[in-house]
Amino acid sequence: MEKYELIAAYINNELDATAKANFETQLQNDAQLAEDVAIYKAIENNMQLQTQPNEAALLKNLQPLQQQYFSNTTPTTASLKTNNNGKVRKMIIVALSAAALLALVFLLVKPSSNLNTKELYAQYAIHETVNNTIRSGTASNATLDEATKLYNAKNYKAAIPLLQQIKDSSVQAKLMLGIAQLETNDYATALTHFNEISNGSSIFADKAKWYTALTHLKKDDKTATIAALKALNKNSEYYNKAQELLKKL
Amino acid sequence: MVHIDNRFIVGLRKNDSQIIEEIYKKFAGKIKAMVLTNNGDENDAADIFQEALVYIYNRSLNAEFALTCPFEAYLYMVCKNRWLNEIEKRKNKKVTFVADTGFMSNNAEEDGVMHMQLKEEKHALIQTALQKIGAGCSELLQLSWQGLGMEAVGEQLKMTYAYVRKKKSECMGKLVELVKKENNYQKLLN
Repeated sequence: MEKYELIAAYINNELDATAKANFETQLQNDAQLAEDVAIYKAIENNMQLQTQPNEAALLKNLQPLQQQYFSNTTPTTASLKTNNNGKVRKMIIVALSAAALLALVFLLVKPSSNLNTKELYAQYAIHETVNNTIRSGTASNATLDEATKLYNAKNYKAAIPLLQQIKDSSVQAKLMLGIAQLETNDYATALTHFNEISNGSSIFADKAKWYTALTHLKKDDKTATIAALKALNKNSEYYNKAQELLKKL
Repeated sequence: MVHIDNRFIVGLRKNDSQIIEEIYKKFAGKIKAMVLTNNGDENDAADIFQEALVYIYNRSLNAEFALTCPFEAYLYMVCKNRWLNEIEKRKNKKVTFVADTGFMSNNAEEDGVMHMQLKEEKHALIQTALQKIGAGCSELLQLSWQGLGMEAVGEQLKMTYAYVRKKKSECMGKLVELVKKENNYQKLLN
């Protein structure tokens, strides 16, 4: 038996009398082993839960109170800015979300040179509002609805545990999870999710590649950002944006 | 000794909406003030408060966990640690943390606070090590701690009972070794 298998068996009281006595003699003579056993026990005692956590149910109870006790917790939307001539540039909004539109105005008004990665990220990271088009009737549907609501309200921290529950049954949920993790600076996990989607054959693969680049951008890793942008080919929906961003880097 | 405020912990564990509302009513203002006076905004305060409650909820599910100090002192401790981490993450210049001393424990409660502090440090130590372990081990261990029983864990991970048990001891071995690389890991043995 390997060392830690033996420790586990000892702690779980699964050794027969002889083996147990032998192990205890060993413990008395080997301080290092005794320490390892003590740490093993301490970890188990500290981490063991009585029941499976249900964060989603808790969050449901916290949500209304969050809004009641913390005002302005959803991002404020600014009004349209005037362009250089002082006239309001009129635009027809078809499918763009308000956030995308704002960012576009920002692009038109603000000179784009000499921006640092943080500003570039703010400029390019436009998360589209998700409309749930997934068929109803699936078990995870209520969770997805709830998660989408939170996600669209940019309450990423609350959306994450819900999305985690359904990420394996919905690529869209996995993508949203990645974006939520990106927004909450959990870069490594976000990248794992984007990679998984990029390597798949879903309609979200292209988008996931773009988000991989954005994640590196937010991490302030220019080399990785450039590499990820170059991985977007001419057929990509994001090709033009990628080329534009490459120039600025 | 368990503090009378442990009722807040029990309330969170049970997801009791009345207790939760009381927590907001009594403590949200204090935490908001702490974040606002230390370079944060209202959004940050809201996030920190919510995260702290979710964290304490998860801690409350641990059988050994019981409050030995006023809930306010514990909540403040958890929120402060989170907020300091967040400031660190944002790479802001060193911020001198302005702590609120208005409510902190009196002498009689000092031991209880210290006890909670040590508990948190132990937990943080394990969490730090856990973040360095591979995704496979992390998933297996977290599942194994949720009180499902190893048969159920094996089912979820599509492993046989014997294999999942062997794997768990391996992962625990890795975790013990990682813990030993942390500074002050001996704290765990207290």
